[in-house]
Amino acid sequence: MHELIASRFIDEFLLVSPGCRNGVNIGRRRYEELAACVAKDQRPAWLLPAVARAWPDLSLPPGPVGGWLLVRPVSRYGFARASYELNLGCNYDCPMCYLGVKQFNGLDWADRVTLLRAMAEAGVLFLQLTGGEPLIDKLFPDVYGLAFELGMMISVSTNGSRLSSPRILTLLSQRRPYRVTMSVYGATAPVYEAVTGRRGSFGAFSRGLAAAREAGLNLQLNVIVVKDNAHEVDAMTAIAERLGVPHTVYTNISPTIYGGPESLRSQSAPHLRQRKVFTGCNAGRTFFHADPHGRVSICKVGRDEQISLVDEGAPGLARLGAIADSLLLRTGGCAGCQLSGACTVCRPLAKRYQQARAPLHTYCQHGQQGRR
Amino acid sequence: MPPVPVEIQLRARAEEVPQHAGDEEIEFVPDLDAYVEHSMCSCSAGDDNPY
Repeated sequence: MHELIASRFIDEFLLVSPGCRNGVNIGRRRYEELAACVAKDQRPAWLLPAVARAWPDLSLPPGPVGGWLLVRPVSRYGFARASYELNLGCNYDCPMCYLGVKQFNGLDWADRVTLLRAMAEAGVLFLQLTGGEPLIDKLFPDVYGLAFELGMMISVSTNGSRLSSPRILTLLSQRRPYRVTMSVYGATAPVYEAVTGRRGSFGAFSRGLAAAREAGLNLQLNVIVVKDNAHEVDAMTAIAERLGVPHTVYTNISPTIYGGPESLRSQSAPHLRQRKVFTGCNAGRTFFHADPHGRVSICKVGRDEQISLVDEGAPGLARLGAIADSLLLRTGGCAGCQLSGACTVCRPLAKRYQQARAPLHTYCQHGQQGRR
Repeated sequence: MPPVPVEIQLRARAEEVPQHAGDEEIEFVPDLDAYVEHSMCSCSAGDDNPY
């Protein structure tokens, strides 16, 4: 099993170690030197000192270099990051979920192998496994294991309810993820379970959080603020602070991916804050999103045009750039806006708000200057 | 006081790796998030959406 991965990442060449937040930018020449050394079972003189400095606690096993160093081939497609929704199904029933209808279905194993290999061929180094709730997907351990073997740095976004499962915990302890992000829906059982709609879910979350900390996983907590738990914001952030776990507070709820308004009703109006200014992005160029059926879009929000990565393989991703261009045009509800040249809102996100017939001020940032 | 010759011994410092660099040197990256965020969009990975 590899302890180190050498890979291209956009314009850089990185040496990274699974489960570790840090890395080493080694440049193309040293990357190529590493690739040659693995083939000859040699170690370049700079490698071990660099590893010792970057990861002092890492002990490399004896044996061939290729046994602990994976050199990813340079991809012709240039993607660096992807997200994969294993399954839209979830064991919670949160009213603010942006997935709307949470259906339990996804690819069979053979197609998931095809999907993950295509992602690797595309150059994906950082992969987010998400859902729905990814840990309740019956093929999660297999997907995680293969993505790890292919040399991806994996992030898992979860509600944490299954993190205390011995099978899951053993997997993540032996093949360590880059990060595990847990959502926090309340600081007490009654409030947490009022949001999730599941009795016993706060206990499962608490056990998962404790198990993940005990295992030393790299944790992040996402505090989700809605009407039903808004009075516990301070208590929720206090959980993170008491444990010394980094956290982010989210207050703005999005329409569903189908443009449905039902998720917006759970927002806590007093906690809404101005959205981060959209300054453009590389959706469809350096990253993409795959849904449970292996259909790829430029991101999780702009899903209007999709490519079957299972059917078309990595070459199909070449069309994503043009799709991104078309999705970012100021069309639909924004057509004719005289301020579009200075627009600071992601167009695919604005489209979802418009489909949901959300009030203009909840997504349009021209409000302070007068609107069209 | 007359000048005294001092012998300076230059030693190879193989255990040291340069910190900053172009393609020929090595840069230690303390937090890969800085690299990853560079490739993110400002909506799905921004500060207002948890997914």
